[in-house]
Amino acid sequence: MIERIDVDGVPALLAPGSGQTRAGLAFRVGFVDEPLARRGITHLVEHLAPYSAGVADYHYNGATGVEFTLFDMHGSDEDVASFLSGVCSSLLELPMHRLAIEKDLLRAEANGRGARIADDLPMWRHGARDYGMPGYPEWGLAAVTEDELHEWVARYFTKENAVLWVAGDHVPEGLKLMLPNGERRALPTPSSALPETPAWFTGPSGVLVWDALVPRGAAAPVFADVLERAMRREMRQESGLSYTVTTDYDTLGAERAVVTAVADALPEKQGELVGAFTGVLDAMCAGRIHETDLAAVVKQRVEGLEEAARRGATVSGQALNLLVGAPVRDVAEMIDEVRAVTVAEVADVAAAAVASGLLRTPGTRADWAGYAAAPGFSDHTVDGTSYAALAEPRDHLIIGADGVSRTSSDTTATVRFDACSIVLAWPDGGRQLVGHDAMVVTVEPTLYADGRAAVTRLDEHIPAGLRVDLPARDPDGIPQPPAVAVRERRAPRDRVGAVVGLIVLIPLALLCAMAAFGLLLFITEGEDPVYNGVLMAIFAAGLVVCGFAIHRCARRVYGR
Amino acid sequence: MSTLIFDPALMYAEVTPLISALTRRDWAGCRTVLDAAPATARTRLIVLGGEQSDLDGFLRGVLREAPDDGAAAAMLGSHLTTVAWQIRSRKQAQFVGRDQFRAFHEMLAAAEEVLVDGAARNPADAAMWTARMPTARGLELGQPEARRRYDRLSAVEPNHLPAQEHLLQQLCPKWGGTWETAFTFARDAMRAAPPGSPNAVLVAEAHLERWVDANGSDAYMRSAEVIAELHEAAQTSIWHAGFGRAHGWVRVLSTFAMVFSLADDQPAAERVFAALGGFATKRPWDYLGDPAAVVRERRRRAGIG
Repeated sequence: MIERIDVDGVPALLAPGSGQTRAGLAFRVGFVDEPLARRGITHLVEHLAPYSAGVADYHYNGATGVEFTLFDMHGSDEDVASFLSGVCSSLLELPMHRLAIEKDLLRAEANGRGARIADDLPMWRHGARDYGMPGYPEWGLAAVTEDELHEWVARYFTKENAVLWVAGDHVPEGLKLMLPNGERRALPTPSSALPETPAWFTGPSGVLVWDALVPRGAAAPVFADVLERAMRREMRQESGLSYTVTTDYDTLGAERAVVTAVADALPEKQGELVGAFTGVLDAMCAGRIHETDLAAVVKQRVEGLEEAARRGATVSGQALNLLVGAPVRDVAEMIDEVRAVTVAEVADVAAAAVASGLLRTPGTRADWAGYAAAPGFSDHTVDGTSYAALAEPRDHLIIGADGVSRTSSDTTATVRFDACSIVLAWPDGGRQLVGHDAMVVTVEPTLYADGRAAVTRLDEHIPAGLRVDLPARDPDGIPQPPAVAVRERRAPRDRVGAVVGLIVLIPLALLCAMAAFGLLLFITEGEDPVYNGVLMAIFAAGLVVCGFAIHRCARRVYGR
Repeated sequence: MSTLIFDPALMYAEVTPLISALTRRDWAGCRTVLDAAPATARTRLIVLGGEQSDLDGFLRGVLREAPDDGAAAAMLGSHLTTVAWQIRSRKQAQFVGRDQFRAFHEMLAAAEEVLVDGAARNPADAAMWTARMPTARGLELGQPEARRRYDRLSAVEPNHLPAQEHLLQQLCPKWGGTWETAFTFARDAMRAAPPGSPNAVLVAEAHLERWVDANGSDAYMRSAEVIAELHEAAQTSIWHAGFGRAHGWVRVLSTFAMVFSLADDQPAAERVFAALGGFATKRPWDYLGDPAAVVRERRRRAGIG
């Protein structure tokens, strides 16, 4: 039985566990709360907080997730109490001297992490806001200030926005949760970047990825597992199409859940993936669900719950339910619910999943299977000053008071300033704007006629709080149009050489001119006219050579 | 001169009861005919039924009452596909107008929508998967998807000639395939079917496609290699003792008659024409012009009046 108590004003759940005490503190704050221009701020707090707790040797863990931030620990009562008490006290007074180091550590962590296979689905579904955030890098880290960290902690890391859970028979002695008062922060309403569903877009070859929003409940995770079994049977065992077939289940708020599916294929067979996968889904939707699959999945889930209950591992999930206002359940109740799931209920979840699905194909179409194309371009451009691309003069960059557009003969990308999530800025003048709808407009001054002026104009209009300045890029990473690039990049070095050349050549040319002129007088008056004539010819030739070289240097200096 | 018979109702006893049941909008009557037919005949009857006009409303009504009725879904899908191809006409792609193409694709998409749901509910229905072959081709879903559909079908119904005919088309260069894959498929299908089965006609069809591609060159069909292979195909199928007059036999014999005639192998052509009696199908004779006139001329050349 889960017991609900209160510890220093923080709601707490106590459930029996075996072995050492396990306890955790969770806050209702995560990626979904971060604006893109401050993406990473929660993770930064999570890294800074346990540092001062002085717990390097203990079995503790901190995690920043989509909706929650967690600190948990197992060990002796004393260790657990001192860790969690320490987290609270350091949240009150973050070790700001660690700020630069922790930012670097987070950047290193992100580099090591690499992209996950379904990373771009949240962005396509929700755009560059709330539930689209998990797909974006921690771009805001560079811009986060100490004041902003204080504000973030004051807003989210409060008693009312926290929950404590303990797997054991008592609250560890000496635990003090000294947190400021605040309020429970509701989850944001998920934004949508999809005008209609089911929808599709194309991604990298060799793999199909799909996700769907379904109602939360016992049948939803069962559906995810049954789907995986059906995919494995039809796509792997029977047709030999896919090697990897997996599904995943995650809750989204109190009432919904996300089901994700991934299936791979060899390049020559990837054209079968859309038909095969949607065929599996459609069959489930039509109620064609193997009773044996359902029975096997239910058995597995019940065993998993029983095992988790023995370890006291279910209480943490219930604590998160409490934070989002979902019902807190006992394991026995959860097991009963799983056992009661019927084929018809799984088919209902499948129908909801099909209707809300977002499919990333390996380059193949899915319109024929009833999926609408997810918008990959903007449907309008802003009014403003137009800058032609150097490589393709029909392509334009338009900078206006309302936003920025990039147009080519068949596509348009627009980011409006009133619907802009971030402006990344590099010292070389490169800019990247991301709109609420996840549309991206990159502004590379090197690629446009008058590109510098375009950037200056753009910078004047960027709304406050959206600009994130990043360190200088690797020069090779700055795009250059082929023909123009060579000239512009070589110009500075050449120009120095040309100026030096002029400094040397002009006096030399004068010297030659004077010598030749002097000798011209001597030819008539001197004793050896032939000798003087040859000498004069040599100086005259020198003058011509110098003149030619001066002309070339001058051209380089003036850039023509 | 004997009368030529092109009407399938006079070739196959199931056709008249099916068409009359369809005409009086009696789906139970249709099902009685279809449920009694073997798989190949059932598929061909569903296609034939789907060629009747104005079935959309009726069959959708049937599906509203009984969404799991595979025969109704397959016939509706087949019907919409037929309408789509009528819009496109039989011309080669470059002669089809843009609006025609759009209407063609829209109609095929409507057919596919019906068939997607039908196949989800009836994954073991050979007629459903057969109906999904021409939609895959028309919607240009590519070789792998067409192959996948055929594989799904052949897992439940191997040697299903109506679907094999569609896959052979898909495997030809005009639909993105190669002659090598087309011929390999035709030969494999011939060998996989029990002796006396009609499936060897695929080899004759492959040669016919190749002949069309060579602008109807007589030389192609008259090469010794081609003639030898046509004989091999005929021996394992129409000239085999086990060959029966199952639904579709007239089309199979007509194809052999045409390839032998083109090969100028008149004795072989005569043997096939004799077996056909007065029966004939429009396809493949329409490759050569008005089928009735062409068949009369070719029979005459083979020495049959």
